[in-house]
Amino acid sequence: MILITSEIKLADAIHSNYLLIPVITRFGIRLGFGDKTVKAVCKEHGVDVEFFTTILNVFSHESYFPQDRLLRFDVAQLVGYLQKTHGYYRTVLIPMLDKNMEAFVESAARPGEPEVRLIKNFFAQYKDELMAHLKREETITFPYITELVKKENTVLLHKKYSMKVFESEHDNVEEKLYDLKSILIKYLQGDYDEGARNSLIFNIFRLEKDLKDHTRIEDKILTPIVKQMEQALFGSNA
Amino acid sequence: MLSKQNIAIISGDFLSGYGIKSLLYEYFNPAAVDVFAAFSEYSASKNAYHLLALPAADYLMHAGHISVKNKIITIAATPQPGQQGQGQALYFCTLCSEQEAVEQLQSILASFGTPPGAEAKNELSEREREVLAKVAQGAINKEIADSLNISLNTVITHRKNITAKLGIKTISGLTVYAIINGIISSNDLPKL
Repeated sequence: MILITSEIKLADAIHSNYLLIPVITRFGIRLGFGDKTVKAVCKEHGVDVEFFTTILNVFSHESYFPQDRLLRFDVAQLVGYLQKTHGYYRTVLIPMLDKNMEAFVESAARPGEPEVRLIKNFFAQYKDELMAHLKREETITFPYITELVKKENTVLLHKKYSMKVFESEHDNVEEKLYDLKSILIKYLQGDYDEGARNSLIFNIFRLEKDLKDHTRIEDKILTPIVKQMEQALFGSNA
Repeated sequence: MLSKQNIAIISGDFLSGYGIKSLLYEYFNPAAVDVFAAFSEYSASKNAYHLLALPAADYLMHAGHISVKNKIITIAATPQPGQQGQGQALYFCTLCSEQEAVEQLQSILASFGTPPGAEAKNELSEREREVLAKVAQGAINKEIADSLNISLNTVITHRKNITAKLGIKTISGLTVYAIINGIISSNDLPKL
């Protein structure tokens, strides 16, 4: 996969890694940009090109992690990106997995089998867990950071919440997803439509990859930046 | 064969270290490969490795400081007579084609045999099935220990082994597995 710079054509970035499409969409950029460079497309959409290319490269290359540059990014911009990622899970990936699961369950030769119900329940449980996780960040973590940026009422704010709390609560939402994959790949033997099963597994892998990237950005960039802010505002009480 | 090995590579030459690492990932499914620029960086690392690849010169100089448990591969650009049989070390030559490099790695890795557990059957033992049945029905460790008359530590060990064998970490995942495989019936569940 190529390294994405401001001078390359955005279309070439996608040809090199099609999984970038939803990431690009998150920035409000729609496909159909012809032969325009990354820089030109970003300018048109009012997107910070350095932030854009860095996020794309971090997504494409697991060991590419320019921490110094990432730590200088504007927090509001980062939170905006993370919120859009949540939106993508809610409105695109999860509904798609719902449909995949539905098609898979309906393809069972004997839909009444307990194992069919079990898989469905297991997925429903996972979804609840993920949704609760997203909601907690959206209603507590992100607003806390936004307030912190405004530097209003911060002392009161900090008493209620801090990035330390965030870190202690930031549990691993990927475990159940991993188990679901194991069960679908290794253990489920019943008579199902293989196409339906394959689509389901494909999209679980996609969600897993996207979540992993998302978590990496939260843990390695967002958390250190906000901790720096806390340190500056509260000193040793941070 | 060598899946799940932890491998360390010491190479002052970034590209050759990175090259070996990439080949290992592309062709052999190792657990982890870490590249160190110098022997001192490697010895400062807290991680444990099954396999250590390092320049022949480094090996000669530091052999006494390498754990005897480590399998050794020495690296050099061209074949060096006399190196091959020295000590326990195997020899990797970097001046070669991709195919030759892969074949060298394959034969080196094959000569180490199967790492413990890698090819062991992933079937659960009778006792593990009993523990799994209890876990799947929602029992906590203490309850399992009491009802099977085993210690708490034994329960924990069984649970670790079950997760390692099946590749399933969560309780609800284990429950699904147990029902699919007839270890418990869905009637055994508290609610469904």
